Amino acid sequence: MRLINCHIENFGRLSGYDRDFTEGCNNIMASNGQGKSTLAAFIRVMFYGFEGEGKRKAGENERKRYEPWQGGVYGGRLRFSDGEKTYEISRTFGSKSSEDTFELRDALTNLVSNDYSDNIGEELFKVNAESYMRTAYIGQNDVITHTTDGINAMIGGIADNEGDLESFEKAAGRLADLLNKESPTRATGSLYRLEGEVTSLRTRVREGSVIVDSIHRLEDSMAVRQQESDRLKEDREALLVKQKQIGTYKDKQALKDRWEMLLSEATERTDEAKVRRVAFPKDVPDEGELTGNQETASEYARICENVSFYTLNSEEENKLSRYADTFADGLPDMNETTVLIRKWREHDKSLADETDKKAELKVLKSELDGVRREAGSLPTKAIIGMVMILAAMIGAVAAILLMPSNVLRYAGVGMAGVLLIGGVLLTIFGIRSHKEALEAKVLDIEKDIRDIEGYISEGERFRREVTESIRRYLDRYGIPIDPSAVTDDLRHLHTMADEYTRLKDKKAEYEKCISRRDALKLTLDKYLAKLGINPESDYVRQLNRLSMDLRSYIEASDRETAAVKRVEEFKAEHDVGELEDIKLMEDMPSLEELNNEIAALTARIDETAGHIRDESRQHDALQEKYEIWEEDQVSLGLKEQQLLDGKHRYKNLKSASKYLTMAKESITAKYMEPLLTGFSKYYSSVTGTSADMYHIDANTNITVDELGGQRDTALLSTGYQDLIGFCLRLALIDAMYEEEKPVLVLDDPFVNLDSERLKGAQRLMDKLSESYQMIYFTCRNA
Amino acid sequence: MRVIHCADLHLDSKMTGNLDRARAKERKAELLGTFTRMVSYASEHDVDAILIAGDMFDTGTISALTRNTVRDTILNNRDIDFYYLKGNHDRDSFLSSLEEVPDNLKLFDDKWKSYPMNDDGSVILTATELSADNNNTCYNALVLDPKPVNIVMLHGQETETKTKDRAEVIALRELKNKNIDYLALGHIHSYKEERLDGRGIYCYPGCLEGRGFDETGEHGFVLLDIDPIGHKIETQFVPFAHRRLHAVDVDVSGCMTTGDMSDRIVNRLSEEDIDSADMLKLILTGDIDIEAEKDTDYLLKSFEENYYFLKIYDETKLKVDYEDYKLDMSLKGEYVRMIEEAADIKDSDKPEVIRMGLMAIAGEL
Repeated sequence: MRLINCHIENFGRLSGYDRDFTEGCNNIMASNGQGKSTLAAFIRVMFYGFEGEGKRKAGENERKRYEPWQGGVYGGRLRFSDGEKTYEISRTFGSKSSEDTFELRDALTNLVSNDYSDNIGEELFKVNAESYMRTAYIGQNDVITHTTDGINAMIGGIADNEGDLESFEKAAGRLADLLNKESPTRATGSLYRLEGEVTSLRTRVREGSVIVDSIHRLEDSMAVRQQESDRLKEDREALLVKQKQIGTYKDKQALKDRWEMLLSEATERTDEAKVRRVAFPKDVPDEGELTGNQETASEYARICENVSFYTLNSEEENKLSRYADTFADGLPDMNETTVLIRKWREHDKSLADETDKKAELKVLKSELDGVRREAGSLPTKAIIGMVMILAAMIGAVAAILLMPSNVLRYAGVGMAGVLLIGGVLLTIFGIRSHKEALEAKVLDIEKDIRDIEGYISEGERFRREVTESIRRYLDRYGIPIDPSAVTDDLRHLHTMADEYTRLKDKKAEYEKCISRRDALKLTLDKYLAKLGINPESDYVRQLNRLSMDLRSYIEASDRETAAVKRVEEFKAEHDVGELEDIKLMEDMPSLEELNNEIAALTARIDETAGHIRDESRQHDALQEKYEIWEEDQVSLGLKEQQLLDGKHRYKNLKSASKYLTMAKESITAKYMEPLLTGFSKYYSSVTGTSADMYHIDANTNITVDELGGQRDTALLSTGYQDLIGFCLRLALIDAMYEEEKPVLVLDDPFVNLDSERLKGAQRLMDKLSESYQMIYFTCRNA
Repeated sequence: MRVIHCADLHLDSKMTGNLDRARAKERKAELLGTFTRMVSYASEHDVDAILIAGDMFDTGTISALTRNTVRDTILNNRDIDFYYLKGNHDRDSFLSSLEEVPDNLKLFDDKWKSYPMNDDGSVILTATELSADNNNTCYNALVLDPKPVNIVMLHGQETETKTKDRAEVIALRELKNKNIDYLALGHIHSYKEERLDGRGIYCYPGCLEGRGFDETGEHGFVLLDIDPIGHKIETQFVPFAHRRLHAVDVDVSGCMTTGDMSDRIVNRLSEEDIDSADMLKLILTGDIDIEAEKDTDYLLKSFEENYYFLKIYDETKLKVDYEDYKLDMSLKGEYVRMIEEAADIKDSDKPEVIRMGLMAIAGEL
């Protein structure tokens, strides 16, 4: 197979990209990020379609990764030759595989070819897309993968581009570790331990099965005891019924006793009432009427006492007769008497005042005489005025005579004139004012004298009138006036009047009592006669006794009535006939015996209940054990299932381990010889020496003869290791692609090699281009 | 009057099928808690009676906590009558543990037994425990007065005809035209209500709380509103489970990575109404490539924090296209070709063996 050209419509960053491919090595020099990997992917996708469709590795979902950056039709064409024929693959891609289109045309006829389907990659190369990708594409780091593990990895994953695939040994190791870890035979194996737990649980569950029996035995025992308790309760119930029957009988007997007692009591009370009735010869007195007569009797007794009290003695009788004469015209008026006594006191006071007034009159008259004498003398002011006149006159003379100058004389005369005028005025004024003052005083004294004389005269008139009115008053009762004892006489008059009134009232009361006493006696006698009872002297005592008899009779009668009522009530409430028919129960057990039996049964019931409670507690304890046992059962079920699942998994793990080893051996056997042949071919072409010193064992370990033995290639220099690794890789591709050889895409695999190794690599590339078409991407010109 | 019809509480179920010990214990407590919550609901909604149509307990051995809680719940709700019909899972251990049967706990045996459910006897409940002995004869023995509202309670699997010697089978045909207004059933763990005949309906309320992933979806009880005068029964299914369980298939065909599968799971779960308190089982299905990378532990860790419980079942099948390796000249190709031909490996195991070998080679095992 050989690529001829390609046209990329849009694929990742490549758009409208065209490239022709020659046989041998096609060097494409471009810097990183120019689309080298995209072109490599495009070539693969043209053959295989997109990888990673629905796969879990998001990174492998290339459809999205290579969606055109600039939009437009997603896809392109690839022309290649296969033997004699040339084909052109056209693919376009949608957002999902169902939208993809594929077309294969024969390039010569331009007719659609059915030689291959859209799975043309597998049909052409006989390897799947993943294998293709891991072999035909050799990345920068693959070349240095030269250790034994690397070879194994290549065989295991057929040269994983990402370099992250673990080796078969690691996979086998993991399975072996898991088999050990989960081993059912090793003491550390989880299945071994699980089996132990299951065995232990089985034992516990088997042993615990007796718990259910114990619970059931206890429940049976509790049921038996419950039945026993029920039976005892029934027995006790029967005794309680009997106890109730006896109680009923006793109740009825008690009723009968009560009935008889009530009858007896009623008879007794009737007899007593009859005895009490004897005290009343005729009708039984009415209690109210008797009480009224008792009160009458009490009043009668009290009236009799009043008669004695109000009876007048002889002295009182005489006094009453005398006063009756005195006051034949009526009793003195107390108010009038009081007025007269008060007027007499004023009379006495007037008399006393007159004496004082007369003394005062005498003084006034003497004072009047004094004033009149005073009118004949000069007042003081007049005297001073005269002195001033005299002094003025002397002063004037002296001035005229003694003053040296006229001015001074005139001044002295002037001043004497002034003094003279003052003296004249003062003398005149003093004499006039003195005269006026004395005249006013005389008038005042004379007025006072007239007032006092009027007063004295009025007092004398008043006293005469008072004396006359008292004299006339006393005269009415035959009493002469005695001015020295007017007040006492007036008072005595009233004392007599009071005494007369008292005696007259007493006599009237006496007569009233006599009348009342006689009326009461008549009433009481009539009442007693009505009762057929002879009156006694002491009505009160007689009626009190009668009242007590009546009270006794009423009480006895009430008791009789109550007793009869009780009898009637009892009859109304009870069947008296039935009570009278009650016969004594035969073989009646005593209540005490019955109570003892009931108490004994109650004790047994309590004892049984105690047993039931004990067993109930045991039941609860067993219940807890049962619950644990149940949990053990559940746990056992789960563990058994775990064990079963674990063993099944273990078996599958063993199968996986076994078949992985077998697969590895098979694939190793298939590729080992071709690998060694291919390796020798490429190694010789690079180094020009034989590869006899290298060996590949069944485990694809590559060793080198060195120092008398086979040594790990790790002992070789780095350059050799790289070349050995690359040769092995190419040998592997030779071995895998037995029919159609793929186009090798080399993405600058020798970027890290030094110049010496690069020469060897160049020879290898030349050799390789003889059998492979290659696309060699590099970012340097070397 | 109002009546709750529930069944298949399966109290004290082990719950260890999916859960670890601590969570199983917690879930066990939730089952019991849902029962007490239901009784509280009854108390708050003036419900007069609760019908328990069998399988109140999962096994005969009942824990002290469950026994005491059930007993105390009944005793503390004396205004509610509890009609307890034993189912095939129930034994006498609960009843034998009671020193005295509470007045408001009404029981049944293998003979038809009727209780008036209200004061005037206009609503009658009749029930019997089915057994191999009475299963064939009990139908003829059921005679109901047509006047009252008749509720009949049974525990068993519905069939159309009688089946000899099978205890947990209810022949619906035999119960038609028996004056039944409401046939309260238990045994089937999902809600179902159908017409029995011209007069009545039959109903399975399903279990009160889903326990395993065979009991997914809504669970609860049926609330009956009975009008004895109008002779009407209105029923309403009340979802009441503390948690729901979901089993969701996720087709991961074509996924090559765990990430792809995670995306598929996210897309699939977005179609479902699943609460964070729910329990979820994801079932990975479909064919995946032999070289696909799949880490169910990673997926579990990625999603398990979103739910009370998550388990992932891997029911995917490895797809091996031997043609892909036919021209693979590598060790892989050789290995696959040899496995394909291997006579000592079962065909069903071959994909797994291939996967192991390829993963070992890829350094991923």
